[in-house]
Amino acid sequence: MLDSIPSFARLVAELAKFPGVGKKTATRLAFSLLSRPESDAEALAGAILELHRKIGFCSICYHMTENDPCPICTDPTRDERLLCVVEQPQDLLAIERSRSFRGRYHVLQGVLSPLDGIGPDDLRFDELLARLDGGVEEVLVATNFTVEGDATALYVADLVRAKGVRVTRLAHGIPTGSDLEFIDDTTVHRAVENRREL
Amino acid sequence: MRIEHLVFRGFRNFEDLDLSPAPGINLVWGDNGQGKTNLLEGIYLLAQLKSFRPARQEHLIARGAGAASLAVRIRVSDVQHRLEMNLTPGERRLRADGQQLTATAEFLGRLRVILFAPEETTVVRGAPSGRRAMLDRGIFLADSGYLRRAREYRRCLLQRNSLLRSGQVSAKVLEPWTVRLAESGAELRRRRNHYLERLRPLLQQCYLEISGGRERVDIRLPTRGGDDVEALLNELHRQRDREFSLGQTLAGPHRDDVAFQLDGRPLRQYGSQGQQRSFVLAFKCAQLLDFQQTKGFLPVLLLDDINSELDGHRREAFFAFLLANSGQVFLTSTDADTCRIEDRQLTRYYMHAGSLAADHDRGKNS
Ligand SMILES: [Zn+2]
Repeated sequence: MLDSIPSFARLVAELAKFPGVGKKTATRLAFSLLSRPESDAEALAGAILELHRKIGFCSICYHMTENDPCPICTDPTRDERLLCVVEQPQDLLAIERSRSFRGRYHVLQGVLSPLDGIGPDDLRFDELLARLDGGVEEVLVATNFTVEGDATALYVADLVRAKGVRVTRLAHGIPTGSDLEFIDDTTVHRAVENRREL
Repeated sequence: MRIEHLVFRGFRNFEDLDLSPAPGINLVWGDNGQGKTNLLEGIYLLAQLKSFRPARQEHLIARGAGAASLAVRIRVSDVQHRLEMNLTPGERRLRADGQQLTATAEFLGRLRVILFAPEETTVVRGAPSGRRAMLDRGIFLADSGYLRRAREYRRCLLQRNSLLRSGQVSAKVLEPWTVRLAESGAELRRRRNHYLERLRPLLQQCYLEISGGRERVDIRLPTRGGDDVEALLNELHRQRDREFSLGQTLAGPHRDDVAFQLDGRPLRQYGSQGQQRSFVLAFKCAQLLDFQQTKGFLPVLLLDDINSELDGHRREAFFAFLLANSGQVFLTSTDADTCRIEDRQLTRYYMHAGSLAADHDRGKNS
């Protein structure tokens, strides 16, 4: 049925490429766009185009930014002795939302994964090492708690320690507002191991 | 736990199989090739999401049917649940209590079964992978965190092997994967040992009851230098050159052999056929008892073609064990009178060409 309206089918096919969007959702979005005024569609198209024209990566931390260096790297109130290593810009944003960290960041832009052909040369490790000479006293590794994230953390720890800089890893925790009985045993185990004084 | 009602449509040779099994022992008898094992396979599939026979999904769907559907209503303590699986070529849909599930982990573990199939006795003499798989299936049933850890280990192993195969990597690049693998591997070894410690006395008790013999059986997991991270890490470092030349990881739980022992000696060499069968059956029975002790209810027991496995004396002892200890049992046999169990403790069904007939009359006459 869609094939008889090529322009509609084209939009559905493009939208369906996005993560979490199936053909059904794509069709619903397309109908919704069609029912709105043309100015809405123009605004959306403009926003999408601007994304690629304006956003690049910061030449210091490799976070996404409109200005190079990024606002975090140029913020004088940030603690230069603390450096947090993350896999992706969205991980940086998650830590920023928590307002728990006032140091600077380094985005690796990926994670070690031999199965996908991703080795140390494909990530921003050299750039990380170069930054360590500038008075960094502690590197907090905040890669994800997956097999790949763990291995990448171990690799980073080795590099950083060789430079004589302290390395820490994000702690595993039990989410607030949750009942202990419903937490999986690994999480409980780690929480017990990492217990603190009261 | 028991199955109260099951409906299999378009699965194997079942056009429309509708059964409300008894809470106790259900004997399904009939000639070979009529669908007795298919019934057990369907139940097993709903529990484990894979068959115990080598089977592609297309082969599970009946010839001429576009799709297969398997549905059971189970009762755990006082709560009923409904599990459904729909198979079409290339797709599998799972529902639990009417809700569509996308993650298989949410479906696994809702129906708990222990299977004993005749082929399993060959595991005693076969390659180590068979014994490891048999042990791991036991642990999956008892330890809810084990599956995720085993998957994590498997993932790390694939990553590390991929690196070893790529050839020119430095020790520095390999090391994080070695460390991560050793952490994961030691955890699996500890959990296996922990499970075996719990199972050992039950295994020995069950073996004595079933075999009537006085031999002492045991299961051990010999690992070089113990089951801690350090031991596995040392072993991996020691093998590094060979690992590079072979392109694979040479130490860890994926290589450990599970030693089945009879009076301290290898069962594969020193056990008779009968002793080997009794051992595997005792291992399953021990799992059943362990499950009840730790979870407080019994899983469903599936016994395929049991009379080909045990001689007269052992069979009687085994059925006495079942009557005393098991909950719901599905038993297949070519013989309606395979076991001397009183009729009130046994429900017979006759399977012919994918259809079941309750067999009350025959039970009264014999
Ligand atoms: Zn920056």
